[in-house]
Amino acid sequence: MRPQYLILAVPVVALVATVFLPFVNTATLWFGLPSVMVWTALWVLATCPALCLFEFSSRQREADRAEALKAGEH
Amino acid sequence: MSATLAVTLIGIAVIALLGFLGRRKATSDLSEWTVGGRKFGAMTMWFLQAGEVFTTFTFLGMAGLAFTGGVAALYALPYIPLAYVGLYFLGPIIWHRARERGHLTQADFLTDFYDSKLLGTLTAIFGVVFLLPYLQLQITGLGLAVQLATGDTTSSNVSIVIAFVLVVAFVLWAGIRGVATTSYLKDALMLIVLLVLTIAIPAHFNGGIGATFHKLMASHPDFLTVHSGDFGTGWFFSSMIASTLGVLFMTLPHQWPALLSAESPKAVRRNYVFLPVYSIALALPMIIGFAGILVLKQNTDSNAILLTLTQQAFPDWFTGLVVVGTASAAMVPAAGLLVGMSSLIARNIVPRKGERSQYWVNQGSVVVLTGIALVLAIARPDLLANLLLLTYSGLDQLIPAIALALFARRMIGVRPVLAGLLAGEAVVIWLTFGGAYSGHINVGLIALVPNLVVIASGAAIERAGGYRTTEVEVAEADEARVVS
Repeated sequence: MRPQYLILAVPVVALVATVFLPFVNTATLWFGLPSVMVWTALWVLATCPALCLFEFSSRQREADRAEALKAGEH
Repeated sequence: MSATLAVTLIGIAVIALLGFLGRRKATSDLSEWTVGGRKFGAMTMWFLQAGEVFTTFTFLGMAGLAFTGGVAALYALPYIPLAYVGLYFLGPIIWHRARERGHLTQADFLTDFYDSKLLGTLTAIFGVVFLLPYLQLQITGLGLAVQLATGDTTSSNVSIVIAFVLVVAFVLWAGIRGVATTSYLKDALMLIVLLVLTIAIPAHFNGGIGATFHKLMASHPDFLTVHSGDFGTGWFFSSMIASTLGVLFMTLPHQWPALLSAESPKAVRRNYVFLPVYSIALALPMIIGFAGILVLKQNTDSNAILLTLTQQAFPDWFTGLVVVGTASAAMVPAAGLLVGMSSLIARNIVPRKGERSQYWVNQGSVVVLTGIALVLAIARPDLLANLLLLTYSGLDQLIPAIALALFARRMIGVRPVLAGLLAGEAVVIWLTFGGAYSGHINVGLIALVPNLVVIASGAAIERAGGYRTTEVEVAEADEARVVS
């Protein structure tokens, strides 16, 4: 399995587990905001760079090039 | 006429004008009308798909949900990004196949894969029936906003009639291109309005965002955790998973035109990479809802929280601007819903009699659907309210059918899939209206269990009867997949 998948799994697992993590789902504030809000917002933002590892990989670029060539043939 | 109403009506007219300007050329081609000839770049796709994130429900409802359920409202923040992570990989597969096979709708996709017109027609009927109350919700949301801002029912009714007649007109005129051009204004307007409200309302009433949460910590700490009760852990987790699966497997029929309108799989993927960042904005109306907990009485109508606080903190003209933001959050998603629903009727429900007649059936459906939703919103606003309870749970029952159709081979025949779908819908209806269930776990998720059991049992019977995995024609289209 490519390491990108493992990296992408981190924010996914973190988001799914939000409500079950006692240090997150508690009445406390992080940076002046509810901990659940900060936790979910940060991991939602983390999905973007995790997907960028796929999107801007050399493998994807080659696939896009092949796709463009194929489209040109048609 | 009050300043609020004047600003609202001007705003509605501007939104509609942008919708009219979306049209490129006169056409009676349903493909051009429904998916813009499949020529939209990443930027247009962004606004189209972002438009689906923010509706009147997210604008008014998220503030209300935070007001009543506290941080439990945050279930809505992760489910779209979670679904987009999966759609980054699945979206290009759907796009490729739909392009090569000429699909315009969700039901086209299923009809083709299972080689079953019956399944396509049935899913199209479910799609239209379950989305109709969602369309009405947009209308009543706009009406509620005008009524709260002006205190006048007549102004509210006049506004929603004007707004939705204009929506019908620009949708008929420009199709999905009209939805795209109005989305630009809508998203810009909503972001600006929400940012101003999120900073100003907590500052005006509680001394700032930080001060709001410190006061909540001292007086209402329960609102800062997801615990037991109506909005408890089970509700949060199951709602998040059910919503994620629903979006991931494209169960909402109006998701399809936006995806299929992309010019390339690259445009599809780029959106799913960057849209999660935008969905963070969903937290903004929630912060306003939290501010309301400290200011408003507990029995305040939760849908009215955002506008009530706005009225107390801002002059009339700015309240009008907020109502225009709400109007755009009603009109643009409603236009997208109409494109999705009418194409289902024209292509998958009414028997086809040529391309041209299909186009006119589609246009007629736009008028009839809006007419029904508008009349019911004004005359019998509660009639479809119960049906709305079925919308997401009912559409979630399409998950197995769509998930199995993403494979290149048909591993299970149409009969088990049909039986599973009907079993799932029956359980959803029974649990919702039968009075047998009072738990907090998402009904759609529960009903997926019998749905899957019926499909698995049916598949086992098929295999025993000699059914073989079928290499369907779509396999060729699936050769070009996203790199994995």
